Amino acid sequence: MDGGARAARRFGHAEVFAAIGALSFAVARFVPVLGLGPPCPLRALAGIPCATCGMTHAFVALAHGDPGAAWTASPLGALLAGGVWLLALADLVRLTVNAPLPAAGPRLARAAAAAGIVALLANWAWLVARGVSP
Amino acid sequence: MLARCAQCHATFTTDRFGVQRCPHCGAELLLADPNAPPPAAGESSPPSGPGAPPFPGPGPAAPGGPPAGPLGAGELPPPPGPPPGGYGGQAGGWGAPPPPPPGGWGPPSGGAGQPPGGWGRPPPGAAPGGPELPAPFADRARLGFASAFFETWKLVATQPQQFFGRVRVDQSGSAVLFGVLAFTFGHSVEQLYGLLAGAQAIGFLRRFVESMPEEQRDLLFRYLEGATGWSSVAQIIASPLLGFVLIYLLAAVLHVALLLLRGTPRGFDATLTTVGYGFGLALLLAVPACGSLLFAVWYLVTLVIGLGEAQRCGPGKAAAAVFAPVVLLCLCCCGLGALLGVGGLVNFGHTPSGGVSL
Repeated sequence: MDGGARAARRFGHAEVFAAIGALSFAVARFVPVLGLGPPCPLRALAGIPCATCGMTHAFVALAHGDPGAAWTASPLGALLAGGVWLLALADLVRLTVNAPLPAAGPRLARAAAAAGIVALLANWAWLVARGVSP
Repeated sequence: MLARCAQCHATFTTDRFGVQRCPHCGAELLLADPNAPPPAAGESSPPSGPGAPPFPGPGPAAPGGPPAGPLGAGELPPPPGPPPGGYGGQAGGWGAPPPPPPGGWGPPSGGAGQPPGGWGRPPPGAAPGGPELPAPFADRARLGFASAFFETWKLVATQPQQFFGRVRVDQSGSAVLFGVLAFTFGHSVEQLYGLLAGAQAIGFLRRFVESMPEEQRDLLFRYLEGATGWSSVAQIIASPLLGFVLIYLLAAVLHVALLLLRGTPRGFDATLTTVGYGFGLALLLAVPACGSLLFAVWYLVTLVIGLGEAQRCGPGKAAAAVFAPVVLLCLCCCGLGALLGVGGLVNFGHTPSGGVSL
């Protein structure tokens, strides 16, 4: 197999998601995203945070090395940011040592997806109960 | 209509019958009109139609066949006989239609005068399904970029059930490229409209929202100003990257929803292929005023049909997977529309003195 084909095979969907994760770190760290765009419309008008409220703040805070502020803004956002960036790093290491991509079975993937939904709803409930904007 | 060259087997679009030249290899070919009356006896046209005598080939002229000129010094030899596959693909034409290239695509399957194995609408009564085919856009090196792009767009927009039911899902790179190109164009044009007409729109709206509470009015104008000016320029520049990231993230969200519904027998590539080719509809964003709405509605319908076909999970699971994230999104964003609308309506009827004047 030539180098081009090998490289093409190695740069699959996992690498694309890892690159998007790395891009999210760069944006959160170097682009003033908190000053861009309007606030959450649901919270601005009804006073209720939406399910993803505080995630931008969490990403930005964690990218600036402040995990406490990230957790306060949105626990799920802090976990998501950390997880995504660790995934990007892990994939880079995997590519460097030429290790195979670990495969998750359909049952594990379904369990992870269900856990993600539950986490999102729990995070939303926590945000609503707290009722404090970051 | 689509035609296939018997020489190079490439397909091309034409709007007429008769003798024409293949745009790919330059070979001359005859595209017989299936509705044309049969030639009168004695005409010096090639035999056609069922039961016509076979083409005689080199040699003496057959009755009704093309005249075979005598071979003389300096004269060209008579034309060779037809190739084994025959010329063109017309039923009852110059010979048997050539078989479609393996994995290739072509004219409508089983349609009148067309070889099987194509993307077209199947004839009434034909069995559904068929072999998987690469999308025309995945075959753009052979078909030509523009022709492949618009053929694919047409199939996605008008025949999503057939397209996504038969398209190969192992070429998701082409699907992503297709979606990114369409989104880049549509989104850029949409932002250009915002850039050109934003100030006028804000001035126009300012008169209508004066009765709204100050907080709601400020929020509305922050949204409108965010959609115009430098934000538009930045979005135009970032369109390709934005499209790429949106396609992958949307595919991931939909795939997670499908996973929970046990609707992913063909894996992430099928979801990504559907989302990518469906994103081609983002060309509709270039339609002034109603482009976003048109795109949103058409895209949702295409996603439901496309995911059901590409993942072989049926329209029910596909609809549930598509609309679950939409409902979630509505929890975030529809609050704006609903509350602004209700707020505007309520306040529209109130006079400054507090009375209601309806």
